[in-house]
Amino acid sequence: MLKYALSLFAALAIIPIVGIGIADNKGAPPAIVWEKTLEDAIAKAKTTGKSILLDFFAPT
Amino acid sequence: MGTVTYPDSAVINYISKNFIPLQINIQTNAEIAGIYRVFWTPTILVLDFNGTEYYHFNGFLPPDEFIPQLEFGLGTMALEKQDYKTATIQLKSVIDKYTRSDIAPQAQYWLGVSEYKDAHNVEALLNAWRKLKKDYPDSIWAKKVSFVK
Repeated sequence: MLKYALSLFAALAIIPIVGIGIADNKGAPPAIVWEKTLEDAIAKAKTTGKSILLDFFAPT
Repeated sequence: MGTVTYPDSAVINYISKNFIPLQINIQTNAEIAGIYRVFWTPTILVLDFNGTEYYHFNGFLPPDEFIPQLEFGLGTMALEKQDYKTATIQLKSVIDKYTRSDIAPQAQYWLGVSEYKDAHNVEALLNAWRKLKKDYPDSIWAKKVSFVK
């Protein structure tokens, strides 16, 4: 019972901290969502009116 | 880039707000790399919504230099498209928000050009270039305007 109560207490303490982290991100995704093809990127850019950031990379 | 710059929350926010991000593997997309004349990685390009290139740079940059480069790229694009009001806003933003970034002197140079082109105001051009000489005296961009009194 004590173990259960401590777990509940810990969860209640953590939830607000996680909430603050999410609030600070202001709706942005947690990571960059990359398009994979130029055609898809151009189609989305035309729809949104945004410019395209193109990153050429080589896998390491 | 993938371990330092792209996971940075400010970079994620900036790119998500301003760009459609596209990542291309140069080893498996030689044709597209050829179209954009890319021979080294990382190479970062700023394209308009038609896929036309307006700005590019090579090599790793940390977040505090990467974001100003992208902002400058948007300013350069607006300038080349002769959208001088947008160009002025973007280039001012580079100077005001990222004053000590390495791209700031170049932004100050082109801000003068944008203000001149917008209103044919020679004094605005000269004032911007005088500020360039004063604020960034050691940059090559200050040398480009060293003839200005």
